[in-house]
Amino acid sequence: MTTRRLVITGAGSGLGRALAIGFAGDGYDVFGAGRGEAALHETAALCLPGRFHAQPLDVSDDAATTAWIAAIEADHGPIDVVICAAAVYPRAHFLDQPTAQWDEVIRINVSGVANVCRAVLPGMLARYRGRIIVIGSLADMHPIAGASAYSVSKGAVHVLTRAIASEIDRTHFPDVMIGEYLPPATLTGMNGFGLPPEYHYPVVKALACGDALTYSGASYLPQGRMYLDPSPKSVLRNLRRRFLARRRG
Amino acid sequence: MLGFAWDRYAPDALADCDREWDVAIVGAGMGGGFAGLRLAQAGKSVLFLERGEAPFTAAGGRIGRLQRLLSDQHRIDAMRRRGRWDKRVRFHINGRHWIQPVPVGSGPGGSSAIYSAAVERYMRVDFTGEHGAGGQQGEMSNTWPIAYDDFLPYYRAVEAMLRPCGSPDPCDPDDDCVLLPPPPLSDRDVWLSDRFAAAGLTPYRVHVAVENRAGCTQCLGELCARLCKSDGASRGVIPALVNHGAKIALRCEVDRLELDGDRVVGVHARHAGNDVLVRAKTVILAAGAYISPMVLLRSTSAGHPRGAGNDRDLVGRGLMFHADQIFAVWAPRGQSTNGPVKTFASKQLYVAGGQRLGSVQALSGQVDVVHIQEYIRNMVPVTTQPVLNLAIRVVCRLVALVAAQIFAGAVLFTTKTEDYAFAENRMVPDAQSPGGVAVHYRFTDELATRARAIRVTVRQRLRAAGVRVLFLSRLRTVNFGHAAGTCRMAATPEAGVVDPAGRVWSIENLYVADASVLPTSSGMNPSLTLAACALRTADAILECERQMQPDRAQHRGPAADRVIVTDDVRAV
Repeated sequence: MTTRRLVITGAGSGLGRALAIGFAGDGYDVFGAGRGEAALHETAALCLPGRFHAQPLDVSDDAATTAWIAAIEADHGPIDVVICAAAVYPRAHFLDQPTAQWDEVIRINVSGVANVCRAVLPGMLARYRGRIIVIGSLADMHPIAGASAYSVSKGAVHVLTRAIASEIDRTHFPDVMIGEYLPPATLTGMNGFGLPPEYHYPVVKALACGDALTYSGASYLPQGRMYLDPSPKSVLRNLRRRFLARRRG
Repeated sequence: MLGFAWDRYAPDALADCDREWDVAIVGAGMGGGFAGLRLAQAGKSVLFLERGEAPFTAAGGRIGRLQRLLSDQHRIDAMRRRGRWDKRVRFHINGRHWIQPVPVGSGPGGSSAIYSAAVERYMRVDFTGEHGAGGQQGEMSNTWPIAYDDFLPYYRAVEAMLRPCGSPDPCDPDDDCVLLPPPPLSDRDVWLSDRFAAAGLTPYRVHVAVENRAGCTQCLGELCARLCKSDGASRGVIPALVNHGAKIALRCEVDRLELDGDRVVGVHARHAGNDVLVRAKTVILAAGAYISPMVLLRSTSAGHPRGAGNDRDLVGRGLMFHADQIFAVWAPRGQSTNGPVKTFASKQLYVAGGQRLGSVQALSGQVDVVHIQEYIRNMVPVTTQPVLNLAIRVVCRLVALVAAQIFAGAVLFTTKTEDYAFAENRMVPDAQSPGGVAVHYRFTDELATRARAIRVTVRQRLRAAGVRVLFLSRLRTVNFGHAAGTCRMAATPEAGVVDPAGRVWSIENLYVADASVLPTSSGMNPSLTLAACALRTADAILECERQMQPDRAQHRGPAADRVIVTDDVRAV
């Protein structure tokens, strides 16, 4: 079985758009969501024609997200990979930030990921196969001044990834995995400097479709290195699991 | 069951002596849960007294790293956290003596909350008393005091509550269970199922009471976090609490019953550090085959000096286990294993060659290091020497690591052979530890003969069908999780402890509703049958009350054949 259908949230700009262009160019069916309809159409225009399916959507809206995922699975078939790239990054001093804005950051960056995972995981578990890649950040370890809400949200996503992984039985569902990718500063709408977003495509592709995602729940840096090296105990456990893994179909 | 607010359903004041409950139920497992639900549905005030703790809440004491290696307390805490009974039982079997924990649950749902939700009916032949051990010394009757056809409505009623999935058993013409479609088998299990069919074992999908909710992680063998598994708690106790006003006192250990002549007036229990007397019009003992007889034996009074219901020295006698033999089979590599566990079973050899050989059933246990280690560890006696315990743990770990390599691709099955009841196979209070249980049991040669017969037959047939088979259990192995018959049901007080309705002979208002009433062990899992018995007992209590108060006859409780109970609790 090969990966055919991908879902990318936040596909209207930045890293999400770059990944959509990359995957569409490699012949995958990409289903992209974003809040701005015009930006999504721009992405579609940059992609290989016919490969990108745009859907205006706010991932913090649980009902709409669930309906969208259900519609994709009904109309096109099972979703193999989900990439959660939707996030907002407003700059504001903690004391000056309006409460509504703080809440919005948490809603989109954290609850948005949870909503998407909740919608796709039952299907993935039923098929015993599927991957979720969450785009995280190192902002939680070194909080950026003027972006407290963003830093908090990325720390939460970190935990959310591991928490979801811990609830998926590794023996019974060895091929349902969730992982996090931690890109360094990237030249997108969020940031005026850094790596070009296309730089991340091969790395994310290796995580999403290749062998790079070795541990469910782990976080990966661009070099394929794992961030927060797992404890020796979990290394042993994973080695044993790989060694003894039941034969998969 | 994760996050269910058990505290919200605690009784206001347990020690309130003025409060008299309609029904006090000792033990909130499969039997207690369903009896309690039926009585609460009929408007009775029901109180569950449960020794265990709310699932997922048991906390271990703080313990140092070195201490953890050396002490056994750590292991006991871990068992409690996983809903297991933390007490150990002293065994005296065929001249050997040892102490070990038994695979039995503690807490709401009891064993049913943990184990694999196989809800299988007994067969018609189990009720008729055919076969038997040939009238050996001390053999007890293996006839049910209830006709199979009279019992069937209760099977149907419990199945309607549990909603199992599976496929009908071609070997049981009476199997009319309404089954939901089971999840599809993996390619490997389809291959194995075909091989079983080729070996003439007529496989069918095990009746598993699991809802298979979206994202079901097949947690059979562990507490379910999601109310997806139908057990005594999710389909019995919780609906009774939420929808029908029942109450539950957790961490409440019952010591004995207070008798007044031939009536029970109350239950002595220890709750939150206090000794309390809970008064009730009717008491149902549903503490499991290990504990229910102990409570009866401790409940002495002037009229019943040997314990409640023990005037004829029958309480605790007639203990039966299943002779379980686990075997591994291997399918060719390269096939997908993506599918459910607890897949299929066969009753083709249930009765063969004029004797009862038993059933063959897939196990749900996963073959990984942790499970193998636990399995081995439970076979080895526990010592009080910390260093020796550590050594045993290390050795078990090493053995488990090696075994996990060998069994990496194996699928586990078990055979279950019926055990017949003998008077000298019994449970008694453990003289060496207060409150403990001691088991005196003899594995008869007759049982060994039948166990060997099914082992040889299954091995030969499967090998002829091209399957690699390896039996792992020793021949004389019994399943300590399937104890039954210690307060057996009989048509006369000379032959058993309880009457066909589950009422203790000679005590007016005391009933037993758990695996200890089962007069036969059969070759199937006991939970469905004991739940059906419990439902029947609840109906008998309601019927008895109607006869006492004929003026209130218009208030009829549900009868098994009329009412299909689907008491659902979705949002907890």
